[in-house]
Amino acid sequence: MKKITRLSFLLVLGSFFVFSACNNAGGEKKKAKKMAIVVSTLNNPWFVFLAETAAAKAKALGYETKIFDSQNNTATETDNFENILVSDYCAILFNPTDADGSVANVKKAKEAGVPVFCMDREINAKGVATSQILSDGYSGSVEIAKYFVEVLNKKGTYVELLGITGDNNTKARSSGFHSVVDNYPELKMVAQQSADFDRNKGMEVMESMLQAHPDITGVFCGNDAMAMGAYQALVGAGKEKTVKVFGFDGADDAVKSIKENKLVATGMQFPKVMAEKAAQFADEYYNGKRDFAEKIPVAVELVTAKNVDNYIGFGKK
Amino acid sequence: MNKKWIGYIILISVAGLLLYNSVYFKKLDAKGITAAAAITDLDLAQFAQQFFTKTFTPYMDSAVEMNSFVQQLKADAKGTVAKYAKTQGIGNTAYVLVKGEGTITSVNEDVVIAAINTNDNVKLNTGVYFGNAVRDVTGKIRMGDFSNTMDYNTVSTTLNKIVQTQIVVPFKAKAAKGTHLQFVACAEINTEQVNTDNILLLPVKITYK
Repeated sequence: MKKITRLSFLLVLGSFFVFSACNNAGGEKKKAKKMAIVVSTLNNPWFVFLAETAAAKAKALGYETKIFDSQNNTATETDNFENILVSDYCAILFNPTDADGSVANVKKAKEAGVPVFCMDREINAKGVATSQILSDGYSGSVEIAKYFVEVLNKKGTYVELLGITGDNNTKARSSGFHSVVDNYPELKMVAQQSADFDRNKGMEVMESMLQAHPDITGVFCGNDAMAMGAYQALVGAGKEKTVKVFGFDGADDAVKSIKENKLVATGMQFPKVMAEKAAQFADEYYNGKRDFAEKIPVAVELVTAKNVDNYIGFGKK
Repeated sequence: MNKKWIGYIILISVAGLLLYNSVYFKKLDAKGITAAAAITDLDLAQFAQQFFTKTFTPYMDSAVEMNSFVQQLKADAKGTVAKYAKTQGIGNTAYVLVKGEGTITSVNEDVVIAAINTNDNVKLNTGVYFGNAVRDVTGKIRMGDFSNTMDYNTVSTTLNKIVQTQIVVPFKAKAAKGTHLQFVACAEINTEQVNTDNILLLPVKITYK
């Protein structure tokens, strides 16, 4: 009789512990301490730095890491997500290839119980990514544009090199720039073309623009790689002293170029801040935190010859 | 009898366990159903105008006296920014709403200078304003309220246009040396390098006396 009573007591107690354990985990199975880092491309030093910094921070927090390259292709990105979701990763630190095209991948991860933390680039959806830590490219471009207007003395003709069409950063940087410059009627844009955030394409596009518009006095580029390519084309045409080049990103070679009075300005983004914050949030999520700000803007700072000594590639000294 | 009870206990335990794993409770906002989600469905210009009328304008009553703010900023920059200013995300820019009263001492191309009560001067911007002070100074609009950040930026640009047309342009037209006025304005503070001598204010309300 006593044995039976003891047995039933143990069974009830056992059930209680099973329920409690499930409750503590919020009904979620604890995953391995592995973070996946998915970046749009590893063919650009800025994104290499973003990925490697995120991986280094995650490792420092005690996680295994693996970097996946989406090669600026949403289909490759989908393959990466499919591999990740069958490999017991506890979080994805994500730099999307396409603001709309990447939403489905993040939704799949969410359904699989894997939190996604976006870095730098956003996805156009609410309630899908756990948090998005985003470079405030629009406001950064506003600052660049104010300086552009000042340097060009509110007049002259200029051209614009855009990034990848469809990317939100391309839109944000261009819109921020034009929200200022378009208020000055004597500043006229004579050509605008995409060079896909690529240095070689930047050079080629600039060469053809110079043939059609030899009298321009300014170039605004959606990133530093294109700005460096454009500057190279201007050197080839002997116009590097008369045409002012403005970039965006804060890449190492752009910062050096500003110091050497070649490029005029860039917008310093902070990939280290974004990558480390994403890894830190993922760690907090693993440890039970659930309330994250859905989107967090990270300010972009104007770098010119006046303050360039405060900066290094991808950040502050 | 005892065996029967043991059977019941085991049955209830197993049934409980199965039921527990079959039913999940989720908060509604976990599915993205939030009040702010409706914002994107509104016309952004209309949203900006409504925000300016219904949220921003009543918020002007909370503006801090300019003299007091500057004195506190000089004494304890970090504490004063934390007490009065609003920030968005990670960065060095903070916004605060200030108010004051004074007499215009000079009118320049894009700036009106007024001497306020203690004979300190303030600079009121009358040029085109580019920035996010109007959107961000109340702390009521967050980036996460918008599915697409471009909408968030458009709201800022639209609010700047509202202030430009409704307040700044009429003020610029009427500004004259010797005019006595009361103002409410947005101040933009660089929290990394606080400089109280060079704060350019964006007027959002001007009253003449």
